[in-house]
Amino acid sequence: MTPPPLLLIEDTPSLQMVYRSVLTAAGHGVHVAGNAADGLAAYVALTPAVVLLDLMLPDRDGLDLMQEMLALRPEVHVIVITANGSINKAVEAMRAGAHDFLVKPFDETRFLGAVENALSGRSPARRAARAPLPPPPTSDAFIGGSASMARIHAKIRSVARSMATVFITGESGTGKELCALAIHDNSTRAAGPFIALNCGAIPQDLLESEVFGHVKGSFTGAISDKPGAAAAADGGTLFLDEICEMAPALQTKLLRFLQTSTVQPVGATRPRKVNVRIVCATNQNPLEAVRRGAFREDLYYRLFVVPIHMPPLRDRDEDVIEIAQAALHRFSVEEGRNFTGLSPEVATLFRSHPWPGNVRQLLNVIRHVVVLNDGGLVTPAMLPESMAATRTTPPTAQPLPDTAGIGLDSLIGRPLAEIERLVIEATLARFNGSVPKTARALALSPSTLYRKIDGWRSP
Amino acid sequence: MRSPPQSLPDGDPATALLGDGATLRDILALAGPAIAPRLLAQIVTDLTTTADHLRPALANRDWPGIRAQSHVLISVAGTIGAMGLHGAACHLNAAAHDRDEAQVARIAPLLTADLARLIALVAAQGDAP
Repeated sequence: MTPPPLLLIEDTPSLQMVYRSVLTAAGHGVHVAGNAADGLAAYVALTPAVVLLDLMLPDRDGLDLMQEMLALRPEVHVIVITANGSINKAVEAMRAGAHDFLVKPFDETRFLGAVENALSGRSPARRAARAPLPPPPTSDAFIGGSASMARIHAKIRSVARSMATVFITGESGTGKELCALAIHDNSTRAAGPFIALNCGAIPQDLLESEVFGHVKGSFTGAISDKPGAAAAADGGTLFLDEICEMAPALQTKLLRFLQTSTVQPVGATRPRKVNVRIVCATNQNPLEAVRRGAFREDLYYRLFVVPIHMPPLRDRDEDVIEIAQAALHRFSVEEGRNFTGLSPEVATLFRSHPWPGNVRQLLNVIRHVVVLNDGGLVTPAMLPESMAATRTTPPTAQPLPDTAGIGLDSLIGRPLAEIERLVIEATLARFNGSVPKTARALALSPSTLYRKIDGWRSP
Repeated sequence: MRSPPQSLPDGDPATALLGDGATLRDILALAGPAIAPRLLAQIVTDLTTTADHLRPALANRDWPGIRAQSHVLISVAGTIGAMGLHGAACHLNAAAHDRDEAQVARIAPLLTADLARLIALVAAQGDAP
C-alpha cells in the first residue's frame, strides 16, 4: 500500500520545486498546495501523515490554518517553516501543537531529518490519539490540588505528544526530573528510553563523551566504544538537567545536534542520525544566564520552546499538607509504623514554613519523623532540630527602625542595599508579613525575597 | 541585534551575490537535468515578481507589503546561496516590523540594486549553454 503523501503548503513556486525535489529524491510522495485554501482541501481529501506548512501564506495566517488542521486530526504531525526573523512565530506554533519547525533558508539535512522524525513518530501518535489520555503523574512532587499544579498537569498533557523541546525551570527539590519523566510517560515515546543526564554533576571534559559518546582509542582511557546519552535515548527522551552548567564548547555541539538530529561520537568519522526528544531543566534563570554570556542565545531559543515552571512548595497552597499526609502514610507502611496524621500545630507550621528545599525537604522531614518515632499524630516535638528554629519565627526579618513614612529625601545618601531593605520591609508591613503578596507587589519571585530576608538574619 | 550592512559585498558580481555558487549548483543537481532549467526560470520569475512588488511597497512605505516581499526574498535568496542579499532582506524585514523609516531608507537602495543584479545573474545561468 502506498504510504499517505506528505502535504507541502508553500506559496513561493521556486521553493515548492526545491522542497519537492528533495523529498522526491529521498523517496517521499508529496502533494503541493500554493495557498491555505488549497492546502486545507488537500488535507481533508488526502489525510496526509505529515504536513510541511509555511507560516506566511497569502490568503490566511499559517498558524491559524495549523490550528484548524490539528482540530480536525490532532494526530497529524505539522512541521512549520518560517523565515529567519520570524522565530517568535515558530515558537508560538510549537506551543500550539506543531511537531517541529524549520527556519529558512533551506537546509537539506535538517529538512529531511525533521520529515523522517515526524514520519517515524506517526503510528504511535495515531494509537495514542485513540486511547484516552493517561492520568496525571502521582509522584510525591505531583500530589496536590493547587491551581498552580493543575496548570502543570494540563501543560504536561498538552505538550507530551508533541516533539517540542520542553524547558523546565524551578528551584531545587520542586520535581523537575519527575516533570520530565511525566512528559516522557505521557508521550508517544513512552515505550522508548528515558535517559537523564545531570550536566552539572559530570566534569566538563567528560561531558561531551557522556552526551555524544566516543569510539575506542579516541582519547586516553577510551578502552571501548561508548554510545553516549544522545544515542542511548534514540526513540525516546533525553533529559538534560542543569543545562546552564554546560560549557560553551559543548553548547555549540548541542545546538548542532538539535539542528541536524545527528550525533558524532568523539573520534568517530561519520555522524549518526538519532530520533530524540529533548527535555531540559535548570534551577537558574536561563535568560539571566544568556545575559551573562554563560549560555548561548541561539541555543536558548532552540530549547526554550515550551517552558514549564515548577512552583516552589511555599506557593502551592494546601499541597504541602496533602504531600505530607501521603508521604506519612507511605513511609509508615515502609517502616512498619502507625502514624495517623499531622497535629493542627504541625499543619500550621508546615503551611507557614518557607521550605527552601521544597518537596525534597518536606519528604526528608517526614522520613525523619517516621524513622525516629513510633506513631500517632505528628507533633512539633517530633520534628527535626532544623525546623525548630523556624517554629516560632515568621518568615520575616526584624524590621529596620524608622521605616514608617519614608520620604525620598530621607533615602538620598543611604546605601542602595539599605534602601532596598527599607522598601521590602515597608511592603511586607503593608501586606501583614505575607511574603507571596509582597513578592507580587515588588515583581520579585518569593524565593528571591526569602533569600534576601534570610540574608538579613545572617550574622 | 546586529547592525545592518553598510553596503553589500563588492567585487565580482558572481562572487558577491552567490558566493562560490555551490548552493545553487547543489539545488539544481538535486532537481535533476529535466527539472533544473525550469527551476532556474522559476527562481528568476519569483525574484522578478518580488522586485516588482517591493519597489512600490518601498516607495509608499507600505509596511505589510515590505514585510511580505522581504520575507519571500529571505527565503529565495537564502535557498540559492545569495547570503548577502538574504542578510539584507532580514534587516529590511526587521526594519519593516519596527516601521523604522531611517533603516529602510538606508537598506532599500542597496538591496534593490543587488536584487536586480542577482536576477540578471541567475537568468544568465539559465541562458548558458
